[in-house]
Formats: sequence, C-alpha cells, structure tokens
Amino acid sequence: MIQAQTYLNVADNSGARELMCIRIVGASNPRYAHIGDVIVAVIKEAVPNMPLERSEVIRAVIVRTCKELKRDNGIIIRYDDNAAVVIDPEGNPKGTRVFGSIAGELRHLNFTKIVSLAPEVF
Amino acid sequence: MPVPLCMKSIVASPESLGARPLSLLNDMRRPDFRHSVTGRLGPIRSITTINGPEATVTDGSATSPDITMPPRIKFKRPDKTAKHIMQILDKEAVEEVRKEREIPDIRPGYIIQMKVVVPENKRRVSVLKAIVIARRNAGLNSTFRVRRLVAGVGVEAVYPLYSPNIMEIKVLDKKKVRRAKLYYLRDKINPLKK
Repeated sequence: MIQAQTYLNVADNSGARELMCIRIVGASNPRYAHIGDVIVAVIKEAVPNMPLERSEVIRAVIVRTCKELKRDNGIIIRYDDNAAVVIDPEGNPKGTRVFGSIAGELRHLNFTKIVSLAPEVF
Repeated sequence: MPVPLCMKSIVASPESLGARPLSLLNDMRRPDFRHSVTGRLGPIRSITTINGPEATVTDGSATSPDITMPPRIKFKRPDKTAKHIMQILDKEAVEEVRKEREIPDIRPGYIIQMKVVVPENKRRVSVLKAIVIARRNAGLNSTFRVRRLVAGVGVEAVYPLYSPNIMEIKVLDKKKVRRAKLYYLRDKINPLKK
C-alpha cells in the first residue's frame, strides 16, 4: 500500500537509491499502489556519477511491498521492504539489472523486460 | 386406543436422546413394528423438550383445545447440526488429500525444502528452502507461513498446507523454538537456519 510520501528502495542499477512516491498513476485517483502499479516519484538519494540525479521526477513500477500480495491459489506473499524499478514512459526499465525476486504478476501487466532481467520470479 | 408399547420407549427424556436410535431398533424386533412406524413419525422429531414426556406426545385424535401446552424448546440432534456435518466433510477432504501426497508434520522452527508449482513461471520453483514461522490449523484450509532470504530481501509466504501446487515438502532440520509464531525473526538479520 504505497501512497504519496512513501519512501521506496530502488531494485535496479539505474542510479537512484531511494525514491519518494508523489503520485499514483491511474485514471480513478487511486489512494494506494500495490505491486505492479506505476507511480510518479522523486529521487531522494542517488548513486554519484550516474544519469539519474537527486530530486529528479521519474516514473517507477512497484515490485515489492510490505503489504501482502494475495493470489487466487491461496498463496500470500509479503516482502520485507517496499521497492520499485525505474521505468521510462513506455514501460521499459531504465537500468540494466534488477535485484531481488519479482512477483509473477508483473508479467501479465506487460513488464516482461523486468521479469526477464529478474534473478528469481516468484 | 391404547398407546402402543413402542411409543413409550420413544417418548423419552432428553438423556436418552442418544439412545433413541437403539430404542427404534428394539422396536423393529417387535411384532407390532409395522403398526408403530406407520402410526407415528411425527413425535420422533419433536421429542426434544425438557419439560417432560407427558407434554410432548400429541395424539392426533385426542388433544382438546383446553389443554395448554408449555412452550416447546427445540434443539437439534448433535449429529444433524451443520457444524457436525461440515466437520465430517472437512475430515474427509483432508484424508483424500493425504492419501495422494505425503505431507509431513510441519511445525514452527522447522527448516523445510519445498517444490512448488508456480503457474506464473510455468516451471517448478525447485529449491525453496525456508524456515516455518507459523502454522494455522483450520482443517482443509490449514496454512503455514515460511520465511526465506531472496537476494538479500526477506520474503514471507503463506501456503495452504493441502494446496495442489505444493509438489513436495521435505523437512531438513528442526530448530528448537519456544514459540508457536516466530514473528520475532523479522527483526533479526540472521535467521535461525544459519
């Protein structure tokens, strides 16, 4: 359940370290974002000498939440932190590597590139 | 019309409720069994009041409107209640699953290795080595919670114990814990398994 002002870790090597969510993308003005939702975020902390800099507004897709993700087969998944992957307006990740396990739901939401880069899809 | 003898055995106090089927069996050996069964099927269900036998027998022919009946307190036979029936169904379903697959005893503190079919991945996730941190018993819907470290991030997952997606569960190690729910492991960086 990510909302505005939520800090998120970054799960790729795009150059950002920490993001703060400022807006959830969606026509119905959603209050919370879950795994697979796109958010608009500002970079609060960045790795030096990379294309992305601090206080830059970018879009990201949420890949890990502390709030449980429920599946139809009864399996419930819960991560220990909130994390996102920085993407461009088309939905392609800006980085070249993705860290951590990625939920399989992202594949159905057309984030296939992120899923293919993931070390483990669960 | 004399009350047939079998009627007296049916008009019972609530203590002999459980023995009622037996009394019916006894009646079957009697010569006038046919008469008794065709005569009265009503009171068998309604003899559940606590007030006393004389209040319950309603002879269809003989009640006069002057007799005031005390209020009936109905309660169901325990083996007819929905709760009991659901318990039986649940046990049957659990036994059916246990016949197909061998599901070991899983308790918190066990380190298990499971093979799960993940439909999203279209393949088996083979080595899921995790520590069981909780177990919830609810018949067929029993679930257990496992925790593992994936690429530096802790992941907890709740699985239904009798889920067909779980191919195999193997207990690797049993750690001594003094809790039923090991949620304190979330704060510890180094889970027990190391």
